[in-house]
Amino acid sequence: MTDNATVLETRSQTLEQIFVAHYQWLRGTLQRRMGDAFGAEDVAAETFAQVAALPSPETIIEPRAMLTTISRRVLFGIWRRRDLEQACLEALALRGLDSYHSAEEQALLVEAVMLIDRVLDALSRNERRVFLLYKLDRLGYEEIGILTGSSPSQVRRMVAKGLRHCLAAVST
Amino acid sequence: MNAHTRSSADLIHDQAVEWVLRLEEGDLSIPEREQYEAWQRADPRHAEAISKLTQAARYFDLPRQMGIEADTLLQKLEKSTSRRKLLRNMAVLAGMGVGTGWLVHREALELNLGADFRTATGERRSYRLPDQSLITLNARSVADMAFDSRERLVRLRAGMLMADVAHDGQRPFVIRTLHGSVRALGTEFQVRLLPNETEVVVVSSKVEIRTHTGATCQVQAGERVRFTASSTETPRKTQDGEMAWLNGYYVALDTPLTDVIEALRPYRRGIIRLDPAVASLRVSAAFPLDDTDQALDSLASTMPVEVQRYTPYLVTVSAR
Repeated sequence: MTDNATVLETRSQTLEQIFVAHYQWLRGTLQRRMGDAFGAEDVAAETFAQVAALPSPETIIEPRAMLTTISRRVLFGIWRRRDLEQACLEALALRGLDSYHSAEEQALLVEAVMLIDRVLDALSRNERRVFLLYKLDRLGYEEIGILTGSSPSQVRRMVAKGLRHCLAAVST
Repeated sequence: MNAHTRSSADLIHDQAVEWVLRLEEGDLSIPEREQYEAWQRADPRHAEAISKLTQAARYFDLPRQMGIEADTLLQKLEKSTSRRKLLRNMAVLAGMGVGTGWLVHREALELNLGADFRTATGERRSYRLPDQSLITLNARSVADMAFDSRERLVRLRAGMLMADVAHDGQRPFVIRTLHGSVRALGTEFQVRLLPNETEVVVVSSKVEIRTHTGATCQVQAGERVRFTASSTETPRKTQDGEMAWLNGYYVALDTPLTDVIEALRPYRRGIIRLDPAVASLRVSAAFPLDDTDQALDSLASTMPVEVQRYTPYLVTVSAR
């Protein structure tokens, strides 16, 4: 057996051990919190998928603490996605009675809105306003400065920060 | 080494942002433009960062292109953001303690308020309703019932159900989903909630679909239709085997692999991951729903796919 194979073997054993020792516990905990059996199961399963994707699971010292942290993140992600999907559906419905949209269009919109959401979430209230005035309303630094009480160079810095978060959001 | 690659990636991001801003400001001289092009050529990561920024810009433009008022959407985002912040702060304060537990629980209650019918992973169940109609829920489905003197309403909140409707000339039988309602007087039909649409299959008689925005469509026996909140597609002929799940089988007839996996998922604890490279492969076979391991094995032996089990909870289906 090569070293590489040994590493893989250890890895899969570690994962298996974590699953066996903690899956029921995590699912039970989530179920009590969420009051929803199969929703809890989905969160637990996605949590384990993220654990399985970790670079070196054998270094995990406190599996339950880590599972709790990851499952919380998964849960927020699921809720957020649900909220955003609902917001998109409502926004599409508001376009007017005779406007049709395909499932692809809707999926694309949800994807776009999730990215926008991730970018905005990384910005402060004021930065968010500046960035939206720049991106959506296409105003210049001067105009945005007047509206938000900042200097044009401060506005430019805030726009740059927003763009850096765009890059980070597209990269993940 | 890690710190070094990280900071050089940051530097590239900063440079890319700076160039995009200068391009948008619009007055690059010819030497500056050449400088920009040289920078782009200098490292593939430079061009990649620029293309990512272009992609992000397209995302920001998309709502407007689709005719959506950005303000409407942003208001909705803002509303759910503040709720999430509240939840997150509670979580930080309380760990996974009592405070969070309560909030989380309330959230679940709102989502599934009064769910009368619910099936777990791998479970199918039939319920006799007060009007003698029979509904059968596929695995991982949630529905509830609100009958009154005007209508017999069933809300399908997740998954899929089959309704065998008792005739009542006075009160229509209505199944409502996120996307709209399906109305019948007395018939047998199946409704399935998909991520972005609802699917209806009619076995006998006919039903009427009304989407949330008011688009309507009649579906006859032997037809299948999918609809979103605003539109319905033209009815299509059903295939044999649409109802096979009632007997514990899934029948694929020239069906994309992704649909087959989707049908197995509610029957399996844990995750099935499907490689996009094989998602659209066509499958024709029958699979036992109550033994997903056997179903996965028979996929692996008849299709050019590999099924890897990392643990019983994580299975990957990928190209061989």
